Amino acid sequence: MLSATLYVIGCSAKNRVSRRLARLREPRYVVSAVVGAAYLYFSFIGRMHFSEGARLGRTLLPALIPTFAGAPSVGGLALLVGALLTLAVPMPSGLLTFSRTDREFLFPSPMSRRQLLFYRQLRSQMGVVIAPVVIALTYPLATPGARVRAFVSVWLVLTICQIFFTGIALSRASLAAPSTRARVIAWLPSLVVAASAIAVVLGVVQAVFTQTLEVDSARAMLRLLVDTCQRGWPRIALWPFTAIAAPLFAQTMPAFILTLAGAIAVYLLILGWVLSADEAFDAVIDTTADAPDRPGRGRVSYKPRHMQWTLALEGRQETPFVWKTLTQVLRAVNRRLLIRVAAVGVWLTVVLVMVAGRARGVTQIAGLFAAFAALFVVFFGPQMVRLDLRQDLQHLELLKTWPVRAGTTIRGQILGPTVVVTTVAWALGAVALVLGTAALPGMTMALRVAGGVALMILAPALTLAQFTVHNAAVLFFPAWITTGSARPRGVDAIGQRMIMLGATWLVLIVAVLPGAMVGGGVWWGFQRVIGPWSLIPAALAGALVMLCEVIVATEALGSVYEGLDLTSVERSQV
Amino acid sequence: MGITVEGLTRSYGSLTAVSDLSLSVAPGEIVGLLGPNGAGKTTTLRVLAGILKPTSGRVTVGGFDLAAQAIEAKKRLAFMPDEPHLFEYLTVEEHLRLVARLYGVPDFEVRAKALLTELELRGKEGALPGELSRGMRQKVVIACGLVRQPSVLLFDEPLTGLDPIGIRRMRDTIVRRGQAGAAILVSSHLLDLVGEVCTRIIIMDRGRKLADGSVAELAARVGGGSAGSTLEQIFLSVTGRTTGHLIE
Repeated sequence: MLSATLYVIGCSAKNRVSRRLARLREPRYVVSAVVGAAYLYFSFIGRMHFSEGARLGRTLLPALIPTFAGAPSVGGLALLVGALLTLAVPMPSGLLTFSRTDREFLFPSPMSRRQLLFYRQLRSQMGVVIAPVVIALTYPLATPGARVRAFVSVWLVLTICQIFFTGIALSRASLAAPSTRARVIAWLPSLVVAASAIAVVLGVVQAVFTQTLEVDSARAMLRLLVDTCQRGWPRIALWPFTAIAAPLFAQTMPAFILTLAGAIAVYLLILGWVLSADEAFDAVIDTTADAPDRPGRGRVSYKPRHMQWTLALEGRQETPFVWKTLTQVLRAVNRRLLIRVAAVGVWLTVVLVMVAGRARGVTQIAGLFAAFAALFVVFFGPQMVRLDLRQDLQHLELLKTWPVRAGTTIRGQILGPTVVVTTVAWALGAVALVLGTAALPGMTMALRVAGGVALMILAPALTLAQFTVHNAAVLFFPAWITTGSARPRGVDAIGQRMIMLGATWLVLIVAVLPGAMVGGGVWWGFQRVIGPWSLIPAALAGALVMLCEVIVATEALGSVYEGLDLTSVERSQV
Repeated sequence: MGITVEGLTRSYGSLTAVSDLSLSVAPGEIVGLLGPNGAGKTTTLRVLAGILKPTSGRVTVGGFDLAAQAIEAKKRLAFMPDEPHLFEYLTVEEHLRLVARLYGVPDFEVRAKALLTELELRGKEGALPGELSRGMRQKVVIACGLVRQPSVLLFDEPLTGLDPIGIRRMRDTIVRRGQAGAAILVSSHLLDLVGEVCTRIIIMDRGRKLADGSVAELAARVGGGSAGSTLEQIFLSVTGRTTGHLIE
């Protein structure tokens, strides 16, 4: 079975490479491949040769993470927190998600469940290997030996995390299994992780009460935590996690080999546990296989939540598109998405606090964060929220049979996501306005309010303009746009994205220019009379101009939409 | 009214999928479109549905030119593709409502209820497409096509994925719509279905129309007047395939 698995992987890789090479005969792919290669070179490999750090020729990780005696313990603690989160938040495992082709070809074949798992893990290696390769190549302070060590240790950490994640998904299905053996196997990781966490917490509590030194800062607290994890029961309890992280921090090859042995031992233990938990494999896979088109990797799973807005049977033809988009958003929001948004929010807050070092309180941080997030949503939301033709191009045949004018269809497609992005931006803007006094103490009240209201007026117009540009790109260059859940890969695909991104921003700047000029003129005319409040009529004028542009552009795009035939478009998914 | 096609040609680059095709389907007529794989049937249907623009030629639907009066033409037309394309985030009932809104269906509630019963979709109104089998999703597509009572119906392999009861009901539905005055064009490889429900047959190969007539007329032409030629024999004869050739 190993040979069959390797055959599938080998054939897929060979065909993928030959397809990518074959399409380089077309000039557009050559251009995008050159751009993509240049981007990769200057982003990653170029740094190795030109950076100051490369000349220093030091080891990889000292600059990445400050190495000290307790560094593996810090890494182990981070992995422990990750394991706790994995236990607390149920998520599907990528290794247990089989494609339809996998299900139809492999499930009826005489492959055991363990072999299927092994097959998925081997196939997933292409994705797992990318991050270690990038880290090993890009890190500026590395010697060749350190790069090799970094590659192996990062790859091992990711592989162990992946297999552990799969084990948790499998064991979750067996927590209440009738078989005692299955239950024991299912509960084992939870107990180990919980015991480790309890040991560390008790150790820290004990250390805090017996500590003679005062713990008065975050640094002191971290030091106490690390010291605790290096002694007694916490050290033993944390060992599996520390052992996995230890190769990352090895400074010499002998030390690396020694620590690698420990990490591999833990990996084998986890692998043994996962393979012994394979009784649950059928239960987990069965639920996946039953659904005719179960969302695979990268696809959204929709929950049948009740939509409060019932679509009226009469009215403007753009409205059904808006209704459709809002329904989609309502049903797409799930725990995973909320966690991602929360993670981005936390990250942005941390960055903001670090950048705005003068932050003096929660209100100020929240106000600044809301203002920053509102601007981020307006300027980057349309790039990320692809609930328009970028997604609906997969339904193009259906859309084209509808008795709706092409211009109306395009407007409907962009209005839906505009409502979503604008609503979020307005909500954040309202928070920023309310907390404005604390967030921007240097501004007058009039300037804050007028500026805030002006930005809220401009938000939908700016968003609409961006969505128009993105959808125009879809219609003019459908092969270069990621549609639906498909994601083109390869150097030329990276180049395509770079070119499209640059062109999109360029067109957007040109599109916004007339509105900005008109708005600027209105502001100049009014500001002597009504001061900062002139921002509001200026924003209104600018928004009006942009709206007119959007209407003209969508009408003009109608003929392109009508002539679009996806069957003649060669995509670059492979 | 119905459908008229005059000199339709559709090319994909250097490949001509449909070449100088002319046909018509009158109201109340059920026409079967037959042909081997790659004959140009699906391309023809997609052009008639307004999905593809013809390279040349003219199509009218319900008396309206599909190029010049696309909205009016599309209002009268329903295309049921072989692969059910549905929005994964809309329920069955919401799909029907969306179609009703887009096509301006006046008595939507009554029609939807009747259709859901007819297609055995009652109880599935609140289900998302991901919760339905392929056959069920095919029925939803058909319900979306029929809820607006179009005067022109285009079916591309309408029985794919349906169970035997569903197949029987679908045959009845097609016949009933034809009897009600709809012009129907059915593309299928199932010769039994075509022979049973269609009043006329068009056979295509390599983008060209090879034969057009009732089963009896085609049998007379193929068999030199001998009675008893089956649709399969007619098909093989017209397209130049023989049973022996196929077995090889």
